Amino acid sequence: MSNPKVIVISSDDEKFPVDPKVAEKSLLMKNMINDLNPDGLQEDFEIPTPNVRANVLAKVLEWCEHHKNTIFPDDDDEDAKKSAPVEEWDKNFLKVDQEMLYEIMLAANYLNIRPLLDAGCKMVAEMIKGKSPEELRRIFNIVNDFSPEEEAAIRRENEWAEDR
Amino acid sequence: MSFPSASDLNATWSYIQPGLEFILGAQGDQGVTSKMYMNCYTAVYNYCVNKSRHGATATSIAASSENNSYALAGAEIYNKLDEYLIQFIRGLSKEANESFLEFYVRKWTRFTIGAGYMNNVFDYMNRYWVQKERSDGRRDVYDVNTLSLLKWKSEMFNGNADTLVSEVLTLIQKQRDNEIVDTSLVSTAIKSLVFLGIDTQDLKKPNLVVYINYFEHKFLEKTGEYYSRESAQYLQDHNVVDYMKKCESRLAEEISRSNNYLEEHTKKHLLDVLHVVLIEEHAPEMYAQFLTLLEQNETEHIQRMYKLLYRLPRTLDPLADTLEQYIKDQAAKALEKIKAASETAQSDGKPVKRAASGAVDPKTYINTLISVYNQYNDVVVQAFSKDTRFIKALDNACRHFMNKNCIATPTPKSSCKTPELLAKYADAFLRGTSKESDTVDMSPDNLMVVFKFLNDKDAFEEYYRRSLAKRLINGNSKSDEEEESILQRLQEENSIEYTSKMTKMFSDMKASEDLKSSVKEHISESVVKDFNPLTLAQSMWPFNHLADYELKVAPELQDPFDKVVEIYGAKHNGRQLKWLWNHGRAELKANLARKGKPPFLFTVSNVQLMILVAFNKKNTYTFKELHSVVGTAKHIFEAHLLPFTKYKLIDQSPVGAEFAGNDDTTFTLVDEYKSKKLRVNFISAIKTNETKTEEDEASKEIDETRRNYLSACIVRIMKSRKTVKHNELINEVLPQTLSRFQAKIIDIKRVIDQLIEKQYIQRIDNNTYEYLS
Amino acid sequence: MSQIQKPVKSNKRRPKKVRPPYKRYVYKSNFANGNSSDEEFEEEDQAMMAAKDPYGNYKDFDVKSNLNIRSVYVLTNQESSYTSKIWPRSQFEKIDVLRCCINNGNSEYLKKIEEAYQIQQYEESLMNFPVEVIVRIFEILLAQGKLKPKFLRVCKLFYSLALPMIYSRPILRAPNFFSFVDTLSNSKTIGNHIRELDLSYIIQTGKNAFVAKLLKRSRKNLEMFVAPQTSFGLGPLIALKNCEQLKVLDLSLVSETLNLEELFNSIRNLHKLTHLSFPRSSIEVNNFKSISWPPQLSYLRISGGISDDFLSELTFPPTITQMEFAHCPSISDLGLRAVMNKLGSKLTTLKVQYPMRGLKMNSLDSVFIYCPNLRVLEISVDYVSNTFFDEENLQYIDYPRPLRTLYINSSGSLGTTTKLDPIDLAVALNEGRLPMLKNIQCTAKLGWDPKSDAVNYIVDELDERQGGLYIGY
Repeated sequence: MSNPKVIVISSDDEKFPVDPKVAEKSLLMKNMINDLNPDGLQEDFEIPTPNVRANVLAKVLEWCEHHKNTIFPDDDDEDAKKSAPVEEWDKNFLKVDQEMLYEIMLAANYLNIRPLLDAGCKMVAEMIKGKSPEELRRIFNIVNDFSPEEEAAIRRENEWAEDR
Repeated sequence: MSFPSASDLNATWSYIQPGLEFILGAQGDQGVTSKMYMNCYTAVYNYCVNKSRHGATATSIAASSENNSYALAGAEIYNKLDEYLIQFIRGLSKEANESFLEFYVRKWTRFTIGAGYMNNVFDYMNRYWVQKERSDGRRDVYDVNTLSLLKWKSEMFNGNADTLVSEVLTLIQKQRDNEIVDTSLVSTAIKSLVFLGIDTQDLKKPNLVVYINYFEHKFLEKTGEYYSRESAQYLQDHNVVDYMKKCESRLAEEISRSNNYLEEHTKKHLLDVLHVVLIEEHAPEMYAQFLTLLEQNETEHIQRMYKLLYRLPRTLDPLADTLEQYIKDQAAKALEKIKAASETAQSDGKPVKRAASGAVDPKTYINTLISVYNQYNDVVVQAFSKDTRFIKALDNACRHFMNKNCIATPTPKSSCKTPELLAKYADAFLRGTSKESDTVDMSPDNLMVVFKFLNDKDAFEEYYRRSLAKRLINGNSKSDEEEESILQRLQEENSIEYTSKMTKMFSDMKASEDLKSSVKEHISESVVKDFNPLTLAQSMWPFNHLADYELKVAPELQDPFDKVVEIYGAKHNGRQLKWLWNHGRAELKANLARKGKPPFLFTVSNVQLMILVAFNKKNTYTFKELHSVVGTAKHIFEAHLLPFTKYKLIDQSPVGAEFAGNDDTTFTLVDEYKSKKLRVNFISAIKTNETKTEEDEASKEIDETRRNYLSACIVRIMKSRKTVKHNELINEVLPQTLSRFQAKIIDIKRVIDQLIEKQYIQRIDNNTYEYLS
Repeated sequence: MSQIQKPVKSNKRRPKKVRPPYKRYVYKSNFANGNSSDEEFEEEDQAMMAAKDPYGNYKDFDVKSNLNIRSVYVLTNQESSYTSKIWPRSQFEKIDVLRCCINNGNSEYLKKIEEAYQIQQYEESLMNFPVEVIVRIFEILLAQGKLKPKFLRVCKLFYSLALPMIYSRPILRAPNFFSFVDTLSNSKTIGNHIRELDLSYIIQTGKNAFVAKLLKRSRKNLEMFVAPQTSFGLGPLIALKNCEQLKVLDLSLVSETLNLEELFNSIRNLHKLTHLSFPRSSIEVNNFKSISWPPQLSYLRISGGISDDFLSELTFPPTITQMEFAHCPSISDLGLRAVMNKLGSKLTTLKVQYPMRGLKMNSLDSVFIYCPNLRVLEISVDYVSNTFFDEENLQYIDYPRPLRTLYINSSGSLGTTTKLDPIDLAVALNEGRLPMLKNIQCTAKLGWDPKSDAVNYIVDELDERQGGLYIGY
C-alpha cells in the first residue's frame, strides 16, 4: 500500500476514506491510530464512529480536509482563543440550518476536534449575543422553568451586573 | 448498534468491561480492534453526556453546591474503573519459570501500553470531568493514565518493592562480575520507578522520589560495599600502579553503566561513592608510592595518580605537601653538595673562583637553585597539569629553600645571602668583561625566577644597584637593552617604586650625555680628549663623597673640570656638585715606548692620573713632594701609588714596601716602559679595604632603609587609626612589608621604641599606642 | 420520533359504481343510515332527500343526481378515535386537516402530541447539548464580554452554568457597587464564585464595612484582590486573613495609612500569596522583627512610605524574585543598596520607576553588579550615570548574563537627554557583556539619534537575536 488511508465509517455504515492527516484532525482518531498502529499505518485502517450519521460525518470530514494543513496553536492563551473571530471559510462552512450546526458541534465534541467545536460555539455565541431571554427561548426552544417570582428574584440579585 | 442505555451505569460498565480486558491485555496478547476501541469510547461518551445533561437540568438553584452549581458526570465510572484496576492488577500472576523481575517487567510493559489506550478511551471523561474536578480543588482525582499508575504502585509495587529492587541489584552485581545479563530488564524496571514517582501536586513533573527512596539508596550502598571489597582484595595482590589502572577502568565502566540505565540524578552520587571507596580509602597507599615515583621520575604514573586523586580534590592536599617537602629536601641536598665541593676545593688549595662571601661561587649557587626549580617545575607542568595546588607547593618550597639554606644562611641568625649572590650573578652576565663561556647558562629569566622567591628583595635592590652603578660609570654593561629590560621586569614583578632609584640612574646617564656634548663645545681637545663627566644624583647612586679623596687637580687639566661646574651651575641653579675622585677612570697616552713603537695607553684612577701628570713636569719626586702635589689622604695616596711601583712604571728608591710611605723616598718615572701589552691597567692593582667597607656600607644601607620604611609604615597606620593595640599594629605592618622584605618582629619593636623616643607616638597602657600629632 | 398515524376513515359509505371526479363532504346527514346501492332503498332515499336535518343541512343526498361524485364521506359528531397531529408539520405530509380541526381529539391524545412535540423540539435545541459544550459557549461569550446577566433568566440550566462565570470577575464601578454588596450580603454562596475582585474604581463610595463584607463573602476562592483607594482600613485588612486562596494582593491604590504589622499579621499565613504590592500611602511600623512574610511571596512592589530602615532592617523572604520600586520618596541609595545586597542575586526582574525622589543621579549604576541574574530590567535614566554600561559596572561574569529585556524610561526633566550614550550600549553588546539581551524598549526622551551608527548597530544586533529596539514615548 503506497498511501494507506483511514476509512471512517458513519453510524449508518457509510464509508469515508480519507488521508490520515485529515483524520488526525480528530484527536480521538489520531490517538487511536497511534495506539493501534505503533509502527505507523501499514494498510487501510477502519474507524467506526457510532455516534455520527453520514450526512454530518461528511460535513465534518469536509472541514478536516480543508484544514488538513492548518496548524492550530496548541494550549495557547485561552482568552485569545476565545475572543478571536471565526475564520471566514469556517463561517461560511457553518452557515447551515440550526439542526445541522448542532449536529456538527456534537460530532466535533465527540470526535475531539477542538477548533471545529470552538468555531461552532462561536457561531452559537453570535446567535446568543444581545438577545433578550424571550428571544433566546424562542430561538433555541428552551422551556422556561422559572416561576415569575424566581425570575424577579434573579433580576434583583444580578442588577449590579446590568449594563449602565 | 446495541449500545447500553446511556443512563444505566451498570449496563454501560458491563458493556465496557470486556473491552477493557482486551485493552489491558488480560486475554493473552490478542489485538485491540478499532471497533472495540470506539465502542468503549462511545459508551463512556454516551454515559457522561447523558448523565450531565439530565443531572444539570434537575439541579435546582437552591441545591447548588458551594463551589460549583453544576456537576458533570464521571464519578461513578471513575470509581468503577478504580475498582477494576485494583482487581486486575491483583490478578496478575507470574509464571513458574520466570523470576519476579522478568514477570514484573513483562507485565509492566504491557500494562503501560494498556494504560495509554485506556487513557484515550476514557478521554471524554478525562477532558471534562477530571479537569473540572481538579480545578475545583479535588486533587485526588486523576486522569486515567495517572490513575492506572497509582493503582499499579499501590497494588503491585508497594508490596513487592523489596524483591524487585534486590533482584535488580543482583543483576547489576552479576554484570560487575563480568557475567552477561539482560540489561533491558534492569533499565525497564528502573524506568518504571521513575514513572511511579508521581507528584500529585503537579502531574506533569517527573518525580524521582520513588526511584531515590526505593532504589538509589540501596544501589549506592551495594556499590560501596562491592568496590570496597574489590579494591582491598586487589591491592593485596597488585601494586599501586596497577591498582590505579584498575580504578580507571572500573570508573569508566560504572559511568557507562550509569549512562545506560540509571537516572542522571544518580550519577553524581555514584561517583561520590566510588571516589570515596576507591580513592580516598586507599589514598595512603598511593601517597606512599608517590615518593618512589618522584624519585624515579615516572611522570606518566604521577600524572595518572594525579588524575585519579583529582576526582576527589581533597585527597590532593597531602600529595602537595609531600611534594613540597620532597623539593625542599632535594634542594637542601643539592646545595650541601656544592658547598662541600667548594670547601674541598678551597682546602685543596686549588684556585677557586673568587667569591666575595661564603665559599661558593654565585653562578654555581644560583644555577643550582634554578635547576632544582626547573626540575620540579617540569613535574608540576607535565604531571600535575599546572594544578594550582602543586604550583603552590613548588612556590612554597622554593621560597623556603632559596632563602634559607646551608649556603645562604649558614647560621640561623645570619641574614640571607641569596640577594647578594643573586646580584653578583646578575653582575656576572651583565658585565661586558665576562667571558662568553662563563655566562652561557645565565640568563635574565633565571634571574627573575630566583628574584620572585626572594624574601629580602630590598637587599637585592641595594646590591644590584651598586653593581649597576659600577657598570654604568665604567661603561661596562654588555648591552644597554638588556639592562633596561631587566629593570623593566623587576619593575613589573615588584613595583615602580622598587626600581625608582635605578631608573633615575639611567636618566642621569642620559643627562650626562647632554652635559658632555655642551662641555665638549667649550673645551679644547688638546689636552683632554673625550672628557666624559657624569653627573649623578647623590641619593640615588651608592657613591659617597670621601673626604680622603680630595685631590688637587693638575693645572693643565683644570679647564674641563671648571667648565663642567660652570655649565652645570648655569643650567641648574642651586645645585651643588662634588667631584667623586674615588670613582672614574682615565686613559693616559704615555710616550714611554721604544722608538718606533706606538705610545702606551695606561688606564688609571683619578689619583693615579694626577700622579702621572705631575711627572710631566719633573722626573723625580719625593714622597712628600708628590703627595703634596696630588693631595688626598696618605693611605689613599700610597695605595694608588703602589701599582706604579709594582708594575715598574715608577722606580722607588729605596726599594721595599716598608719604605713606600716615607717622606723621603723618591719616585722616578722610567724613560722607557717595558710591557708586552699596549694597554696597561693600573687600577686593578689598587688594594683598598673598599670592598669590605662597601659590604658593610651595603648592609647598613639596607638596615637603615628598612627602618625608615617601617617607621613610615607605622606612622601611617597610627595616623589613620589614632589608637592601636600592639598586636594589631604588628599584624598590620607585616603584610605591608612583604613586597620588600621579611620583617622581623624584633625590628618592628625597635622601630616602635624609636618612634616613641622621637615622640611620634606614645604608649598608653601596657599594650596600646596612641598617635601624637 | 413519534409515529405518524394514518387517518382512519370512518363512516365511509360504499361508493356508487359511478365514479365522479371529486369528493364531496356532507355534514351530519343521515345519509349513512339510509343509503344503499339497492333499488329497494331508493324510494326511502328520495323521500329523505328533500328534507333538511335539524342542523340545516341537506338531509339527503341524491346519488342519482350526483353522478360525478366518487365518494361521500359523512362526518358525525361522534367521538373519534382519531389520532393525528394537530397541525401540519410539513408540506409533504398527508393530513386530514379538517378532521383534525373539527375533532379536537381527546385529552390523552393531546397530551401525547404535546410531549412528542416537546421532545422533538428539545432534541433540536440547545438543550440537547452536553453541558460541557454549553459551558464552552458561555466561556466564549464571557471572553468577548457578552455574557449578560439577562441570560441567567432563560432557564435553570443557564442560570447554574452562567452564574459562576458572571461572578468570577465582577466589573465594579461606583454606581453598581452597593447593589453588588447587597447581592453578596443576601446570599451565603454567591460569593464563592468570585475569583478576582478589583475595587480600583471604587472611589469614595465604599465604606470599610462593605469592603470587609465583600472579602468575607468571597474568601473561599478569592485569588486576586485590588484594594480600593479609600475605605481600606483595619476591618478589611483583618478580613484578608481568611482569604486562603489569595495569590495576588494589590494595595497600590490605598491612600490611607497602613499599619504594616497588621497587614503582615493578616497575610503571613496565606500560603498561595505570590504577588504583593504596597500602597502609596505612608506606612506605620514599629517593630521590624515582628514581621513575617507569607511563605511563597515572589513578587513585591514597593511604593509609598517605605523607608531605608525598612529595607535595611527587614529580613526579606528568600523566595522573592521580582521587585518593583515606584513613588518612594524616602528611599535613598543606602536603602536600595541594602536590599540589593540581600536579594540581588536572586532577582530575575527589577523595575525602578520615576519618581524616586530619594535616589541620586547615579544610584542605579551598580544594578548589574548586585543583580547578575536579572532577566528583565526597567530603569529610569534619571538615576543612572553615563558609566552604566561601562565595564566597571556591567562586568563579565562566569556564565552568560541572562538579561533579556531592558526598559529605559525617562522623566524628561532637564539633563536627562544626554545621560546615556548609545555607543556605550553598543560596546557592551559587542563585547559580549549582554549576550542574551533581545529586546530593548526606550523612550525618545533619551535623546538617542536613530540614525547614528551606535543605534544602528544596536538595532542590527538585536534583530539578529530575533528581538528589537523600540523607541517610543
